[in-house]
Parts: sequence; C-alpha cells; structure tokens
Amino acid sequence: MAYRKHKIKGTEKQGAEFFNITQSLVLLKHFKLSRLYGLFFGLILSLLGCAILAQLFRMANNDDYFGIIFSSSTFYIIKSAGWQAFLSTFFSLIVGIMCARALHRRGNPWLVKIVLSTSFLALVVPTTVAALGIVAVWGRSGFMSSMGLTGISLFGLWMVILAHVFFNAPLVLRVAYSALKSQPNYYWKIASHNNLTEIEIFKVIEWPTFKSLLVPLASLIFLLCFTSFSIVLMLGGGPNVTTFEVSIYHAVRFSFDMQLAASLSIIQILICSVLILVSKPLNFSLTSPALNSRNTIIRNDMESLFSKLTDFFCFVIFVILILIPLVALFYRLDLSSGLNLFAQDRFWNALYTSTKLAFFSSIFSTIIAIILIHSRFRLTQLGSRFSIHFIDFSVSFYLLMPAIVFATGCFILLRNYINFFEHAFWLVLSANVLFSLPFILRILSPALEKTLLQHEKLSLQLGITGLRKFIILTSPAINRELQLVLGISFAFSLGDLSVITLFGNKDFETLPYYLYQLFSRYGASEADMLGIFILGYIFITYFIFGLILMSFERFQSFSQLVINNATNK
Amino acid sequence: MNILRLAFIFITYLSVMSPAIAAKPVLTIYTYDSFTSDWGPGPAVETEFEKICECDLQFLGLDSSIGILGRIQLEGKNTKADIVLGLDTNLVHIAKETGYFAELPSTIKDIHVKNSSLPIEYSDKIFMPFDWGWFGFVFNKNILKNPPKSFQELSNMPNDIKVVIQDPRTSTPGLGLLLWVKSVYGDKATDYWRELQPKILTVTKGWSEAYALFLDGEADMVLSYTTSPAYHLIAEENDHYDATVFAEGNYLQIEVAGMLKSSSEPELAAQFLEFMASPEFQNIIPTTNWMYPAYNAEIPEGFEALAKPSKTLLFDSEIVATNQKNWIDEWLTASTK
Repeated sequence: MAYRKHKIKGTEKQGAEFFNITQSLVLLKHFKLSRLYGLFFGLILSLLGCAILAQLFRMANNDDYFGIIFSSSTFYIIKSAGWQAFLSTFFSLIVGIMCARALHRRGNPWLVKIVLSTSFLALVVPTTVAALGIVAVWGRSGFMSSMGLTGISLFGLWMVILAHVFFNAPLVLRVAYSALKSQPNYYWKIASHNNLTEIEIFKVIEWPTFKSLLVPLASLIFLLCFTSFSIVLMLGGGPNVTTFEVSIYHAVRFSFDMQLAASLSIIQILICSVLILVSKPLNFSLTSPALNSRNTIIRNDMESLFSKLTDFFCFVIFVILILIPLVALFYRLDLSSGLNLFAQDRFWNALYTSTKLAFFSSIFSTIIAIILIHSRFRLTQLGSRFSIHFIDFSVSFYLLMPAIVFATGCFILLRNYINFFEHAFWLVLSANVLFSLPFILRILSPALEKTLLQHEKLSLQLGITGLRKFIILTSPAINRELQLVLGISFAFSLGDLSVITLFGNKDFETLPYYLYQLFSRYGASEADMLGIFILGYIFITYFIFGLILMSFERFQSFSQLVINNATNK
Repeated sequence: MNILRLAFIFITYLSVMSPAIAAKPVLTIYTYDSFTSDWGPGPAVETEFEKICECDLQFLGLDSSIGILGRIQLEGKNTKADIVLGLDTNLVHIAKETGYFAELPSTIKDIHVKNSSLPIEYSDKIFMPFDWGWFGFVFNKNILKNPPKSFQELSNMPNDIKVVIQDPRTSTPGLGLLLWVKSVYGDKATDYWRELQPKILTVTKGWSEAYALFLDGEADMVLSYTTSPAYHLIAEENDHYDATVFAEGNYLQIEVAGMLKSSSEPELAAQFLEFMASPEFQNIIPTTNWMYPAYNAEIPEGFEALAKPSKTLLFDSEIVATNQKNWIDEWLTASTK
C-alpha cells in the first residue's frame, strides 16, 4: 500500500514537474512583459527610496552628526514619542481586549453587529475628522463638559492618547474578538461543566488566546502611535508632545534645518526597522471576524452580577471612547453657520483638488498593485526568489519611511529641476500612491493570486491574455476586493494630511488641509460641517466604486459561460 | 502595452489641465494668511495697486510668518515669489544670510528714512518697513480685573489664569515674546519660562489660532499687539479689551517686506515697495492689519486710546541671528520639563 501510494505520489510529482517545465517555457515566451512591468515598477520604487535615503545621509553627513543624535532635544523626542506611544498602546490594548471579552460573553448578535461595525467605522475615519470628533467630545466646550463632566485641559498628551485609543482600540477589539470566536465551542462547554469562575476562564482560555496576539498587536500600535503625525500636529498643542515626524516637519518647514531633518529621519527609520525586525508586527491577518457564525456560545460566567457590571462598564467605555466621537460632529454641528462652508470658494477648490487627487491616487495605486502582484505571481512560477524579494522590499520600504521625509527627500533631490510648489499635486499624488501601496497589496494579493492560479490553464487554452484577460476573467472574480481597495485608497487620500502640510497654501489645498486650517480657528462650525462632508463623501464614493464594478458583473456571467464551456470540453 | 498607453493619456490630460499663463505681468507676494484674509489688508491693497500698475497682483497666504522664510529657503532660486511681505526686523539678518534677497533700488532707499513714523530710527538696505506695533498681552477688562503690569506680576498670577502664546519657531509674535523675555531677563530667561509654564494654556503655530482661542473664551490672555484692542474698539465698538504695558518695556515689532533677486518682474516689485510707503497703502494698514503705519499716514480715531509703553525694547537683528537657535533650545527645554 505504502509503496503504491509513494508511486502515485511520485508520478503526480513528475507530472506536476512536467507541467511546471512546459508552463515555464510558455511563461518565458509569453509573459515576459508582465514580469518586466513589475520589476520595472519595483526598480523605480526602490531606486526612488534609495535615492532619498542617500540624499538624507548626504545631508546629515557632517561633523555634528553624532551631536544631533545624542543631543538632549533628540532624547526628548524619543522620550516624548515613546511615552505617548506606550500609553496609547497600553490603553488601546486594555480597552480593546476588555470590550472584546464583554462582547464575546454577551454574544447578542445585534450588539455584536453594532459594536463591530462601529469599530470598522472608527478604523476607516480619516485622522483629521477623528481629531475634530475628539475635540468635540473632550474639548473645553465639548460634549463631556456640557454633560457636567470636566473636559480634559485643552490640547496635549491626553488628547493625543484619546485619539490614538479611538483608532487602535477598535482594531484590538476586532482582532481579539475574532480570536475568541475562533476558539472551539467545546472549550466553553468544558468550562461550564467544570463551573469555572471568571478568573479561571480568563486564565485557562482567554489569556492563551490573547497571548500570541499581544506582541504583534502591541508593536503595530506602538509603531503607529510612535510615528503619528496629523493627530499630534492637531492635538499636541505645542512642543510638549511631539514625534519624530512632527519635529522633522518643523525642521523642514520652519527652520529649514535640513541636517536636523535628515538626522531625525534616519533615527526614526532605524528605530522603526529595529521594532519591526524584533517583533514582526504585521504578522497577523486583519480579516473581519465571522459575523454569521450562528452557534451561540453559553458562557457560564455570563450570569454573575460582577460580570454583568464589568461588561456594562466596558460597553459604556466603548460608547464614550469610540461611538460618541464618531457622532459628536453631528451633535455639535450648528447647521446655519455650518452651511456657510458651501459658499466658500476655497471649499470648492479643495473639493476639486481632493477629488482629482483621490481619484487618480486610487486608480494608479490599484493598477500598480495589480501589475506588481501579476509579475510577482509569474516570478513565483519561475521560482525566481530574488526578484520576488526585490519587489516585496521595494514596496515595504514605504512602510518605514515617513511621508514627510519622503516629500522632503524628493523635494531636495529634484529641486534643481522641478519646482514642487508649483507641481505639488504630483508630489502629493505620488506620496498617496506609494504609501497606500503596501496596504493595497496586502488586501488584494491573496484574492488576485488565487484567481490567477484558477484561470491559468483556462486562459492559456483560450488564448485570452493581457488586458483582455484581466477585464474578462480576472476583474469580475475579484470584484469585491477591487471595490474595497479602490475605496480604501480613495479614503486614504481623501483624509491624508501629511505631505500637503509642507506644500499646501490657499491656492493648493485638499479637503483635509482645509479642515486643518479651519480647525485652527477653533469652534468653527464650518470645520464640523467639513468633517461630516468628508465622511459622507468617502462612503458615497465607496458605493459608487461598487456600482461601477457591478457593471463588470455582466462580464462575470460571460466569463462563467466561458468557464463552463471550457470545462465541458 | 495598453496600460502604459492609458497612463500616458492620463498624464497628458492632467498636464493640459494645469493653469494657463495670464496675459498681464504677475507680481507674486508671499505673506502670512491673516494679511490676505477677507478682513485683512490684502484685498484692498490688491485693488489699489492694480489701479496703478497694469499688472496682476497675487498674494500667496502661508500659514505662519516664519514659514514664509522657510518656504523661500525650500524653493531657493526657483521661487515664484517676487516679494516677501511680513517678516519682521528680528528675522532680517537671518533672511539676508540666505542670499536670496535683493537690495532696494536706490530710488526708494531714502523714502523710508525720510517719511518714517517708526518709534525708533531704522533703515536697512534690503528690507523696507511697512507697519509696526508693540507686543502686548490682550485681555478682556471685564474678566481680568487686575491685569499684570510687569513680567513678574504675570508669572505671579494664580495658575488658573491661562495665557495663549505662539511658537517662536513658527510665528513672529512667538519669536517676539522669546526676545522680549530675553531682553528683560537675559541669562535668567530659562528660569522665567519655568515660572510662566503653568499659566500657558497652549502654544499655537500662528497668531490667528491663538487669537481665535482667546476670543472663544478658552484663555484669559493672548500674546498679541498693543494695537489689537483698536480692532474691538473700532470695528466692533467694544471697549472691553485692553493690552498690557509692562514696566520693563514692550518689545517692538517692525514688519518689513523685501524683493527677491530671482524676481522676474524687478521693476514691478520695486514699484510695489514704493507703493508701500504711499498714503494709499499706509491708510489701509491701521484698520485692517491693526498696526501702526510706518510712514506718515492718518491714524484713525480710536488709536489714541490705546495703551502706550513707556519703554521700547528691540534686539539688533544680527544678535538675533547668532543666538536664535540657542535661545529657542533654551525655551524648548524650559517649556518641556
């Protein structure tokens, strides 16, 4: 038996190898271009990145280099950013995990639906809008102080932390909840048979579930908060709370101290690379928890008064920290003066610029992502590991590099050839494309690679290749992912406030930049209105992308027909 | 290939959309945002100057005054700006060191000395003053009954009195306060900043943010100018606002403008600088920028009621240039601990 099995396996293997070889030959012949495109983009991306890095090193390369690194102000930035990021991470983890436990324990499907979709919303809200919401809740004249509770003294550390918790606790909640949900049901049955107390359940089931998540989650959140820019810029309130990114911005924009900017960028890149290498924060999937699993779990710690109280408390915290900032803008909006916004030329100009920017950014980044995944796929078939790593590297490069640094580097690199203040649009556009690429690749590549694999033989048989193949076969199959990716990159670019802070002015501003300007005026209801508008805009475009892609569905039915015909043969 | 072709079409389409070149000569002036706002001097200055120049005057409002200089340094020789308006005398030397600014034409060199209405004698080869004022803390008389009369009294106030100041790295009033404290306290400035720290509500990037915060009632005092109450008095007919005059003296700000070497319209730029000294320009200043005019001009009614400092403080701009970095670092360490 064993021998037979071995033999079958052997022939299978041989067959597979044979197929691989012939396929490789075919590939070599036919798909040269699609491989080259990817390598070409990879080359451009990494060349640009390396050129910027080299430029930074050149600028930072003076006698006083170590003086800057070991100066008290650098230490202060590390201390301030580190402490802030630590507190933000700590509270995000606590809030997220407590709420995930409470949610899992109650298990009411409506509650689950509401909490999970609220936390999804909190994940996609642009930072500028969220900052506005946080101030609307916690500012001196905000919701909290109007309820008779004292608001937090205006801007500073706690505002920044609140904003970071607003963004990251929902992430923790979603990841922790799906982890709990993925535990087998009999765990809970055994727990209730043995009448385990809440503490014992935590020790035996919950803690081991969370343990593996904690380090990657914590380091991801720490990284995000450590490199935070727009939140700190808007809510930091002066030099007390700072991050490297904000200090770089100051050095570039105001004191024109390029050496300082370059040194600070290098330090930030070093710190982040070390953090990433040590803890591998991106090693877990961000897939949404399964909402439709019907089997309700009965946890025996559900009924105790203590657990009811703590769960209630958790939900109250969730509502205060995450739900209220989301709706606070609506609550605070003074409609009559808010509507003034639409009478401003600046608003319409910003809307036009932002739309142009977001539209092209989402299209370009999706196209580049598709090309990269395509050639990555072809290269995998050829087994050329080096090229694959090269493409991966060229993209993940931009996870490490701060947007401000990118813009500054580009600027210095090309300033003798191009005046970027006149062509700021292109710089902002390329920054948006490059910085959304890593996320888009993460979402798109599993689905796209699967589809490519499925359609491989079929498309070879039918001789459908190139763009035609993509439109007829591939794109209908990854319809949903495409919608998500287009929507996310659109939203990303519509809410992005980084490069524009260096180059923006009254003649060239995007919606978030305009929001930042209005925000500086404090209590302007136009700012609230604009925040709400940006939110609405993002959701509407998301649906429009969906509609456009829906029209691709007719291709899908066609391609279904083709597939059926092909398989019937 | 199709994808590339598509991208190419997009790119050509986009480049066609870029703004067309105007027929009239364009004079571009970089300034701070409140200068160009609807209630600022910008619109009136534009109309007045376009009457006499046959040109298109374009203001570019940047979000803070020191940011203008940073922007010029970033752009270097490729800058679009012909004139920079809104630096102050403290920054003059730093600005000169960049080497981007051109000397004033000989025809207008003497104007600002001859007709000057500055409180001190001031002349410069490169930068030309257009208005001036003393820094002061503005407060509402009905809310703050006992305003401080010196720096010591300011820091001795109870801690629940809150002051908004501007960041000396980004805005000229912020830098002004830094120099004000320095000129009063010298080497002990750091100690003073530590004493003042509990009263500082927040440090804003620019003047307009700080003033809006004060008007919203978030703070009791704001770093502004002794002329700011004139705005409330004249434009709002509200006499509740006043500004502090300190026994140690008040620091002076003279706002200046200068033209760039790289300007493509040097004659037009010179014409504008000359226009700055004319009554047409100067009469706009007091009731829009809320500062004293720099040349003989009518000072509107209401300005005489303003508090007048007995002593005027001002550093030489070379001293500022050599020490600015250290002094800002001092302030940073004092206010971050």
